[in-house]
Amino acid sequence: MLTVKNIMLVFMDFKKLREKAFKETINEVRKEKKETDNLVVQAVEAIDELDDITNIIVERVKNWYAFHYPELEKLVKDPMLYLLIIKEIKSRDQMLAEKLERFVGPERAKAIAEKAVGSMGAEIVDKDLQRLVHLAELGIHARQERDELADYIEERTKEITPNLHAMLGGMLAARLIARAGSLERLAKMPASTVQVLGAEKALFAHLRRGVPSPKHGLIFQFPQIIQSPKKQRGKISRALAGKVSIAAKEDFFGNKDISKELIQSFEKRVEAIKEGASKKKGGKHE
Amino acid sequence: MNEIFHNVFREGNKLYTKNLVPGQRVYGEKLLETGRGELREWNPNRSKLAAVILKGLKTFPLKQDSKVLYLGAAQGTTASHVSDVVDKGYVICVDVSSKAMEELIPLCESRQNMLPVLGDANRPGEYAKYTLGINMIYQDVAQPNQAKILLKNASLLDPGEYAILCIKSRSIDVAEDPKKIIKKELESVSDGFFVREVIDLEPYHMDHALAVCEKKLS
Ligand SMILES: C[S@@+](CC[C@H](N)C(=O)[O-])C[C@H]1O[C@@H](n2cnc3c(N)ncnc32)[C@H](O)[C@@H]1O
Repeated sequence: MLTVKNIMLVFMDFKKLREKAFKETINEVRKEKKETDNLVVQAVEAIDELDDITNIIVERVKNWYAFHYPELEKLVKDPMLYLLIIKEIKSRDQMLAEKLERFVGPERAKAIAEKAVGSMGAEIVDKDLQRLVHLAELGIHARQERDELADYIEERTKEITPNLHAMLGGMLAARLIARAGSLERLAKMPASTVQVLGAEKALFAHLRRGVPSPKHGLIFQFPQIIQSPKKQRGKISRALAGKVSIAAKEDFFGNKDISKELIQSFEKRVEAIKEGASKKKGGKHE
Repeated sequence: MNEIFHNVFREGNKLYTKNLVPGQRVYGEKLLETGRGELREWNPNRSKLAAVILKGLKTFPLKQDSKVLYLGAAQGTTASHVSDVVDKGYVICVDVSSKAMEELIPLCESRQNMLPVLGDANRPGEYAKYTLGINMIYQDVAQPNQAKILLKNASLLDPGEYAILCIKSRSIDVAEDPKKIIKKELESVSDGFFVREVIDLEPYHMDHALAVCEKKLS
């Protein structure tokens, strides 16, 4: 049949079309993958917000419940445990050792039960208690959602930025990307900027939530740096920033997995730093 | 071993296609050396098209020189067997997922009659430059609006040409009876197509059916 389509076919060169398709599709896949870094940024910010929300709820529930059983706050320091006990056991007169043992060890359960009997707090009616219990539930949900978001971030960063993920873990990788604004920006930053990235934000968190004061950037959260003697931290973080910067570049501009090499060469560098330090020390003592 | 369609072989309950790229396995399937060349086992649990063939599909619109538009190619499991069959034609493989595309691209590189396109089957205009010559559509997008999607792509076919539509009844409405959903989908497809054959995919794939449709004179 001589349809328009059949005429077109005569002129069509499949090989050329195919070449064009590869070029275009590969480009689009790359582009799209990079654009999804924004999802991770949103998730990281949501985690921080959920942390704030949970803290606010915990404070409120503690204040509120202290009206009824003020001694509990001292007995249960872990905020999530505190919310959970209120959600499940509710009123003071239900705080029996065998019920509490689902949440805490037998001794603490006994202590909580005993203090409940002689509590200084006022009685509370169901109507009032119910509102408070719901608030505790909300706090628990917020924490659960936070944990799920953290899993999601692990999974997504592994797909989007495999090298950064392998080096730093998903959370830290995502925080760096969020702080930089995008993977592209992170990839284009000099290592020295990467090293201090997040210092201002961390200062803010320090003031707001009492996390340790940050003279340094986000990568200072990296276990190997925290665990090192103070004097070596600067050098190690500079070395790490260098590798992180390379990882980000590969994740953005390339698509190879070079994380093994990066981790190895970082570890070598750390060893050298530690050796250098112990030699110096030895020298002084002589 | 019987060649039941071009490059499609059957022996008992096993199905094979003649491997376009000898030595290549796409999803861990078995390879079989025969007098007719190397055959690749076609797993009905992994591929809906294989399942309906084993269940006795009569209308098989794939020909040696078919030019297929494959919507929802995913990692290319079924598309690779289609590429085996249409060894003088080609397969334009469309999928929206860039994740799937990452696996599909290398597969297409190794098979010279496959072409990868990152695109949304809801918007055929976006991949129009690749679909000029096609004369058959295979669609497996597992989306609630699957029938509408096929109709949107129908203008790429001339009357008398075929489309194969995989219908997933669960993705449309979890609560409704799958049989009813399949019927409804087929009704809307018949705006543009004669439905020539419908086969459900049990026991290989639950809540799925596959319909062979012929484009109507518009
Ligand atoms: C069930 S899988 C297909 C499996 C494949 N046909 C096979 O048998 O090997 C469905 C695929 O459709 C893709 N998809 C979903 N919606 C789509 C759309 N609007 N356009 C193109 N592809 C779509 C999904 O990304 C997914 O890869």
